[in-house]
Amino acid sequence: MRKTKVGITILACVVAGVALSAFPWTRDMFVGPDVRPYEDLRVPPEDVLSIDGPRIFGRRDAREKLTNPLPASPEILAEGAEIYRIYCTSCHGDDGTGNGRLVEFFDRTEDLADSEIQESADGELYNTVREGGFTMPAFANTLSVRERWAVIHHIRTYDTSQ
Amino acid sequence: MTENHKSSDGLTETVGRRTFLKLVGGAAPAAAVAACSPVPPEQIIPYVIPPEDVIPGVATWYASVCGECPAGCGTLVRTREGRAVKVEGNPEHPINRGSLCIRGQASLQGLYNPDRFTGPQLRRTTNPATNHSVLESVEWDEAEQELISRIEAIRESGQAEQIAIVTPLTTGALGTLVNTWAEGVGAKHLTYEPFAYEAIRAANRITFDRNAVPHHDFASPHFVMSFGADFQETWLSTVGHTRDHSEGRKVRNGQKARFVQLEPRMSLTGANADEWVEIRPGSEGLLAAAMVHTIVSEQRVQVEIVDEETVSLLGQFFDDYSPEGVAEQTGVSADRIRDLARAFSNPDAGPGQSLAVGSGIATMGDRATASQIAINLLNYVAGNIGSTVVFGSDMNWGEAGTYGEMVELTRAMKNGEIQLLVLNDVNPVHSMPGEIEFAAALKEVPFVVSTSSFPDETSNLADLVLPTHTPLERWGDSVPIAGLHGLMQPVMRPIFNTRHFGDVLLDSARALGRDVSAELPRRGEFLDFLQDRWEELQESINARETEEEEADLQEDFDDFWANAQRQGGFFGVVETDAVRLNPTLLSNTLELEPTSSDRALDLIVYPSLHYYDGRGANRPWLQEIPDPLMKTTWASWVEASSQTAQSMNAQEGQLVRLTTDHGTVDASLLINDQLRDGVVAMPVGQGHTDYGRYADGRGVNPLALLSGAPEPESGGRQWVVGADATPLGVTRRIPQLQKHFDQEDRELAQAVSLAALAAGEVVPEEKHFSLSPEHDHPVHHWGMAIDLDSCNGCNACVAACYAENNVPIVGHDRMRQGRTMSWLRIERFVETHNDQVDNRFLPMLCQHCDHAPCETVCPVFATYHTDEGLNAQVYNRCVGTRYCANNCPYRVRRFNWFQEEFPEPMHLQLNPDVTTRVAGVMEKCTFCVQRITDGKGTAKDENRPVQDDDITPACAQTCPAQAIVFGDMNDPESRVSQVATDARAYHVLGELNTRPAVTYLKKVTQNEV
Repeated sequence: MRKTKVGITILACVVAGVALSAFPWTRDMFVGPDVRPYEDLRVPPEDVLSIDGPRIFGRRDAREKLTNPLPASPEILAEGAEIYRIYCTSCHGDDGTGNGRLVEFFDRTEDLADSEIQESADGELYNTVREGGFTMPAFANTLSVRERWAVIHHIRTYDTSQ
Repeated sequence: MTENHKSSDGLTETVGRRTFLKLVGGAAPAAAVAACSPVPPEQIIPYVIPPEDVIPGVATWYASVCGECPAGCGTLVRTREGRAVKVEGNPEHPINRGSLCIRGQASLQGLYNPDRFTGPQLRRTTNPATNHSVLESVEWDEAEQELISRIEAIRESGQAEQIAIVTPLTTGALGTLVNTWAEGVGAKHLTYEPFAYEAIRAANRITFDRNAVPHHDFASPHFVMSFGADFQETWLSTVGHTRDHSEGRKVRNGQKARFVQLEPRMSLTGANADEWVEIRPGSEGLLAAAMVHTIVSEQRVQVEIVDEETVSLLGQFFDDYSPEGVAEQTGVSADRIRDLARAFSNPDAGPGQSLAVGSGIATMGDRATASQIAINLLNYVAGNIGSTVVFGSDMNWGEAGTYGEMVELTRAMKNGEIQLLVLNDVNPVHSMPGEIEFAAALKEVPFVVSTSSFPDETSNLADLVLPTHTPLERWGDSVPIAGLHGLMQPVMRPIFNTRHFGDVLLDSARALGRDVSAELPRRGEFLDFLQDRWEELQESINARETEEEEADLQEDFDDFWANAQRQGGFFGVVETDAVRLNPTLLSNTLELEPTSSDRALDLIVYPSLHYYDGRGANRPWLQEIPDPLMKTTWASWVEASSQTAQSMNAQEGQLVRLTTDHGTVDASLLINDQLRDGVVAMPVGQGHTDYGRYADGRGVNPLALLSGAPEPESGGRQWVVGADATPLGVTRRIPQLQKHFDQEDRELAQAVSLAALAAGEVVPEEKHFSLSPEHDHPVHHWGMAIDLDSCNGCNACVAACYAENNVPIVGHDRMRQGRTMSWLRIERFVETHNDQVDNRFLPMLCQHCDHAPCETVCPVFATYHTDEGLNAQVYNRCVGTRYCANNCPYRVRRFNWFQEEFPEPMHLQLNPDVTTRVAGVMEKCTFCVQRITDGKGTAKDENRPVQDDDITPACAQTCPAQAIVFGDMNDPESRVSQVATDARAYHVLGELNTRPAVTYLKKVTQNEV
């Protein structure tokens, strides 16, 4: 009996040892030494430009040098409206008046028909979409350059002065 | 507890047998699952202010310039979330056109080297009694202040000329800045490159009055003769030369350009030649002279180019060098010399049909300049100057200093004439001949500053270390050829606390006062200085364009700069200059005969494709990937032919002691029969003592054996020296992954003679019947074609594969046991026909067989065939039986016996698109399935079918010889389908009927096979 007990104890120790040595007992390769997206986000160096990167202008240069490369065709306007519906309506509202669902959380949301906005150049609007505004988030890595210009065409449709 | 025991109060229910079983039945697996899958908590951190170019999970590409050697190839660097993960060639760059060599691929391991300096360091004496001192970390302000105050003190004492600054060959803005700084301070400035090709420059100065290295055209000549120039390994601009040469040697209309390499040891370049002529070391000049003699005496001079008076002068000049006269000294028969000369210059074919290059590092002896003059004249009589040898678009090597200047500096240091020495990114303690005793000379300098990124033999002796960024982290530019301006962009922020060398110079110049910084901008960083230089460049381009009609003006600097950033530089055209023969040259005499030593053997120290001059030795991929010829890893060695080994009574693997007039080293012997009898050879680059964990203690440094005396004519080094060898009776085998180069009649790497190919007499591959059902490939059938006629065995694809697919390194000890994890290897086979050596290189990777032997034996279905023809491997299914590897006839499957480590920050390089495998699973080539998926996605986004350019595996992308083609074999128009129908197509081990997706094209030989 005593021998059996000793035997069982030794066996248990061996089994436990082997089991513990293999800890963690399952290892999938989803988590590895490689860095996954959002694990270690680094900011690229200042002033570099990627091979298809758009040039970045300051506010004054943007007004003068940046123009909308897309035509205001029905297809582009439809694309712009779709992007607006996805990314902009929550604050600026379905009709661009700034009465979106989230308006209660902010002091104010811009009315896109406002003359101050409609009178600013395409380049300035582009910069605002890219960098964000007072409470508006930046869309630099959400919207592609083409999508930004398309949505600017859509914003122009709110111009009531004409 | 009994079964029917009931609780008395009815509130607590007793656990009955059935409940117990239920609970156990449910809880045990739950408990087991909970215990066995500890899912660690993870945190994701989004960007607060998202940068324009970065979408997490999507690669961003930056154009930059490779900084691994002065060739200045353009690169595209793939980054993920601000980390560089892969370097590729820039297709827009005129030099490398998208290709990159093994060293360029491994530049990532310089960036992420775990042994790098993490910040500035200053030497502090810890024990004045024993004069013991250590490098201690300091802040940048303190470190720079130390440099400034030291310079100030020396300048105040009026001894500014006792300050010296040594940089590598640096063109562009940084070069200008260093010059301006040195002039302002009043310091000496030396440009030091261990491989500086002084002989080429000196010979061109003497022959053509041009102290320059011209552009060599390898693409158009019908006949290339290389007098020891290893232009596919280290000579000048290897990737560009290889690319051109491979293009020029393609079979067209039954013709193939002829290529002859003359050198005592067959280099990798020589291994790709049609004929390898094993001449005696140092006799290149004699042979070239005899060829000119033959061309002149047989009236084969290109008279359209060369006037009669010069012809007669040349006849007199080379009168003493008849083929018979030099046959003995060169070891080449007179008839062969005549044949070569006749092929080299054919008046009927016209001038400029051939090219002779010389002055490879390994063949530079005491007659290097004279030999190069003879080679220049050989090109001259064949009318090649101006057509295949072009001055005007000169290479940047003309701006490099000479070795003689460094010897002079060392002498000054020993004499105490140097008080402060700044060493930028150079390692002369390792790369100068041992006889020079640079380390001892450093001790005589009161204050040594190193700006090396890595601890190395030189920076470890420095008093102040100001580590600079690696090329992937810094701004810069490079002018490899006049007119080509490559722009080096940083592709990621510095990993460690390093500082741009240019900023250190600007800061110190400004702190030293206006008399030093008068020529420099008052404010701004190095980037501003760089942009100023590019603004000047833009102005000069506009000035030139204005003179022409249809001017293409670059109006806006911001646009010009942005275009340069996107393209990787500005690539202009430079008009070529005509040169004429220096009239005084032919009235002098030429001393071509090498001085003989009284030692029994000649030693050749040859440059390394992997380590260059030794700077690559701390990159583990370069250590791990087998040497292209000897297939050795992690070591250095001494080579001798079987007969030489016999005469010195030594066996392979034995330690041999080499003694020259200048030093002694011990190294293991390797038998290399592609080496002239009576010659021993050693590769350069190993033998580091303080260059990080990967380089230290690997082999020996053969520079200890070399003469320190510069060659008098050019100030270059002499790499050939007389030596004695004695076996030590101790065996030290070094890791070698291919032990012999015999195919054993298996016909793995096949060849066809040019005559048979032209006559259409290629034996087609036998078709075999199979009982297995054919696989269905409804949409795509991925396949690859490898042209063995183009492949030059340079290993660039192997390094690209390591980088792309997170292939771990196994290290010296396990490699000596024969282990490797490489998914792609290059096998070398040597055939001999009529005394002519025929080298064949066979890139071997998973063949993605349709009838794959590995798939049928997997008990868990971990390896299976996809409907796109890929032989897929599911890592998480694999239980490690290794049946598949045992059943693979190509030996391309690799098993992870160990959990491989990636020391920080090496793990940042790992490709996030590829799973990093753990111990216990099998892995192999996937045809870069992540790129296939990516390419299919791109095509789908653009709503079109997949095209050839959408998908390029890493190996095919980087190949400098463009030997690999990949594509969809279902599409009859795709490149791979076109190539696979070539008459030369065959499959390795086709008789096994495995139906591989990799097609090889037979090598084409000039001789009978």
